[in-house]
Amino acid sequence: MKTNQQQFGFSKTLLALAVVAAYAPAYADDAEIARLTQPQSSISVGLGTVSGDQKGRSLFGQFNGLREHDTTLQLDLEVNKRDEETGAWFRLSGNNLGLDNRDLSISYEKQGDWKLGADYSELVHHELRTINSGMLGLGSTTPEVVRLTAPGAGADYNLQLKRVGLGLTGEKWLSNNLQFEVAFKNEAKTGARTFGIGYSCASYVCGGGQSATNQIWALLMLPEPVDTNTQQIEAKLNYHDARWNLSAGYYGSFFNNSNGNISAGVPPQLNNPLGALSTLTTTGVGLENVLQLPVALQPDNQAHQFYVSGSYRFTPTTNGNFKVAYTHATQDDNFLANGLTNAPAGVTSLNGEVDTTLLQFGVTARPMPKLSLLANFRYEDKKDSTPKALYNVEDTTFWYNYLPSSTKVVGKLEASYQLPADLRGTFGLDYSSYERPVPVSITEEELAGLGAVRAKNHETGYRLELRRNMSETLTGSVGYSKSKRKGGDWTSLATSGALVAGGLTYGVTAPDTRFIALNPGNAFPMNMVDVDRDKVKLSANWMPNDKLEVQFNLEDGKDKNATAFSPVAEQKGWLESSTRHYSLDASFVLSDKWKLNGYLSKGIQNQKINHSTGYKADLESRSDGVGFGVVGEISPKLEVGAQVTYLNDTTKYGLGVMPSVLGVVPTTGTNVLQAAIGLPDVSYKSTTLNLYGKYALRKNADIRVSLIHQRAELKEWSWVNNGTSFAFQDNTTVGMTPDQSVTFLGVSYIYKF
Amino acid sequence: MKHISGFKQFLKVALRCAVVGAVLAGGVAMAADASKVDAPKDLLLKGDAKCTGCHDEADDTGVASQTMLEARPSVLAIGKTRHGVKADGRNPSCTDCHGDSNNHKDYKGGDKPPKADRTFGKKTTTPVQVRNDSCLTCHQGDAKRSHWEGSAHQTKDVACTSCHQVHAAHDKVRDKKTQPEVCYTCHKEQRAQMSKPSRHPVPEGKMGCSDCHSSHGSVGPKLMKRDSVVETCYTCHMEKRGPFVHNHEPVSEDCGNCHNPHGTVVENLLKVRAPFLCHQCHTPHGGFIPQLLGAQAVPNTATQSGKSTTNLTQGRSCMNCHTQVHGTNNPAATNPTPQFNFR
Repeated sequence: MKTNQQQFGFSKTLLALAVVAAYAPAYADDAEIARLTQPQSSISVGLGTVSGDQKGRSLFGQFNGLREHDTTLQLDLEVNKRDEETGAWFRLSGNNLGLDNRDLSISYEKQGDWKLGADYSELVHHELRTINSGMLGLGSTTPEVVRLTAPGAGADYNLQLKRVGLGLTGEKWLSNNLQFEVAFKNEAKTGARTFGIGYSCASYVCGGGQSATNQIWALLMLPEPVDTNTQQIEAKLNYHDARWNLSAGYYGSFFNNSNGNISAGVPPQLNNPLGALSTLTTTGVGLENVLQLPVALQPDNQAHQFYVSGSYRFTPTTNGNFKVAYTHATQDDNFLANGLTNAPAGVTSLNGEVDTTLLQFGVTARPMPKLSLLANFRYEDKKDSTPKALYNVEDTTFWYNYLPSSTKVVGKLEASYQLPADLRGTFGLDYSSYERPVPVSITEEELAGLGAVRAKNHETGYRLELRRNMSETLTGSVGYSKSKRKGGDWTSLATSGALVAGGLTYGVTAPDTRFIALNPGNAFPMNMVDVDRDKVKLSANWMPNDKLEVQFNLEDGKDKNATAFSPVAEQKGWLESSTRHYSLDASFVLSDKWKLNGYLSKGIQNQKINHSTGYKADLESRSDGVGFGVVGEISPKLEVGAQVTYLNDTTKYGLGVMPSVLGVVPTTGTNVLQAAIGLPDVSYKSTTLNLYGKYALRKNADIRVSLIHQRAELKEWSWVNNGTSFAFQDNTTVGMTPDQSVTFLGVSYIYKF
Repeated sequence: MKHISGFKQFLKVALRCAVVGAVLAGGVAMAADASKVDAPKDLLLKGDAKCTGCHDEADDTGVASQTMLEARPSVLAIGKTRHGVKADGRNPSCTDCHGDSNNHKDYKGGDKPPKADRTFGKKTTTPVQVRNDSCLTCHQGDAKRSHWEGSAHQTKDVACTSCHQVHAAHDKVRDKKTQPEVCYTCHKEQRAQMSKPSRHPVPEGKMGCSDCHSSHGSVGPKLMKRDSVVETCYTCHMEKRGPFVHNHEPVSEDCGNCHNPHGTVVENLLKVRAPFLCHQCHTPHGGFIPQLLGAQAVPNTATQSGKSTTNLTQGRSCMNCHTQVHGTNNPAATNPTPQFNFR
């Protein structure tokens, strides 16, 4: 910023020129002021070309519209017009209009009075991987599975999901205090995504056994056909005065699926585990018949919410806010209309009903200039009153459907005090609880693969933070938080084994220690277990002068499963998670024309997860990131910029063999040998160079050249391991080019008006 | 020595010529009636001449805390914004936000004048509360800000101008293409996560942070835009809402139980690769060590069970069979029923 002490210096030349200027209109300043203060519009049109093929740029092009076509139209526009007399704006904005992720919006408003707007958008998500299959009608609701003679012998399919959105908005100030707002959005989603079915015949379904020529199980890749529509509408009335800020409104959301189910045609013979042709078992129901049963796709559903929310200013330093909302959600999609048969007698649809009540109140106050207080309470009750029916059969045993009602309460108290030396200290207390129904009768739904569930969790914790407010060259904060999640006793889901023998049969509630004493291999679900949490945060900001800014951040947290476990048999299920993240950012202004910025970041995440009787896993992900950028002006007409970013994310899968429930650690056997082989690392590396140059052809026209070069590598083993593909029973495989190098070059002409 | 661009040089010369020319042309008359010299005129808003008399079109160095490149072309660019609409009688003028700043304006010394009463740059000494009050004087009535007081950003002393560039024609944080770089100023871990291959289309500018988060305060956790995590996710993924015949309880509890919405290396933004993800809660199908085709201590045989070894590790892992992890609406009550979400 210049100061008002700026002086004009008059040279002899200048004085001579001034004589000339005295006899000519001096409107240069008016024109310049108009240029600086009037809304500007522009249109940018050009061409872009990208190297490689669709497979070779799947990482680069999954969302950016540059996956499918080698050459693309680059078209963007921005029109901003304002009537100075009325304050009316007209805006038209279009981005990527030549690509498959285009968007266009238009609005017209009289500021402070009314506004109308519409927007249209397209977004295609191209899946990273390519499917190779012999399937007919892949991506439809009735695909025909055709076994390939060998993996890779089929046709390639690049799945994609396209979203097309249309939004309409309007608002009107009815008075100085009263505003009406309405927004509507429709989004259609079409395409296909990775999906599939698999079934291993239970004895009561197929019977028989697996042999070289009799296949009792199969896995099939059946891409899910997507043809859905979502609509959201929200209308609200807003009122405000010196004390109140109130909104009362309605929010409706509606989901419609044109596809009711996917029913595959499956041949009588598919691969056995060795890839040889094998007959699907015909015993009992028969595997072919099971695989041809319809797979339900997502049903239509809708929700209506009515709410009142707002705030109230009790005093200039004391405020309250609140929200009260009631939501009625239903799902009554007709089963038969969706091709889904064999519902319980007399049941034509789920007739699902979920009513959610939300209450929230908060108060903030500054009773003294240096003291700030905060209290907040939130209650959410979700009541699922869907009718129950005997949907579940396992052999001759029946269960009802499970209704996931819940009640969640969250409370917070916080005090913050301004200490000497520009320090602010904050102390907070947090509480939350979550209640859920648990089965008490064997007729309630069986919850797969779980030993026990819990009706209630509650978590209490505290936070401390010391922060130095922005004022001097070095500022920063340090924070620590600790909390413990606990809960009530556990309800058994056991129908056999040691738990039942020990009295903990289905529906019986007891402490975790009793479960572990009876079955050291019992695992408790990670979203219900006791947890001890610790977290430290540190941030520092150094600005020695106007040109240099350096920022350092550190976060270090750990969550540990604190539920009872057997020290002999070790703990099962989720054990602990930890995360640590550092970053160092810097920006430097070299001159009034050149600016640099850069960052280094490092993240480490650990997860320990044990299977009940198989493995012990210690997963570690390390993520290193580097970025560097420069922008500047080479000449008054030429602006350039460059940015390079690098990411290396590697996950190591440490595997060990789980000891027996008696604590015996196996030293021989298949599992020991397999654990020694382990799993390879999964890594993702990318280096992206982004260059641009913009040259001013005239005052109102530029030419811009953009160059992006990306090298990316994704190594993982889910679909392919060291050249060996995981093949489905029809020899369908999924893969991608692991090393990808892509260059994009775009040239655009920009006209400003 | 500061380099002056050609255009700027021309402008300065032109202005100086105009001033000197005007003096020469009207010198006699002006000398005769010096008291009738026009006061500076408002350039944009009512009463702004007090400030724009100095901070005019030649003052392109911008706000002190911003880099010169960011501040260009000038503080006058506020005229291009909603705050620069003259016809909107609600709009403030310079002193409404910066204070009367008479000490700044009337300073006669030869060095740098004292700062305006209220400044908003990074090195400002104006308390955050005072800075934010300047904005809330008008914006407190906005419905979206009813829950600003007590929100995570408010209690951590985030200033409105920490995110918003009030004088810039293009306020980065209000454009989803440039918004993330503003949020990444503090949220570094999310910057790293958004660089991973399984993510939302944020780097491509098709989504902004504000599509999920309400930075001015909300009723939901983590400043969620709607009242809860699941309600926010349903706005785009409504097919997951159900309710279903067969539900999966953690789905309706919190999508974040399994997904990291900011990005991971695992497909579908899963926090951990299956089967490890699923085995945090479930322990089915007996003893088992994850293994891969081509790397097995004992290779698969023709009589291999479908519920073991590579089938539980590769492909879609547990989801090879339990396809409908978000719930299924299949009502079939004949064997085999889909209660384990496999169809």
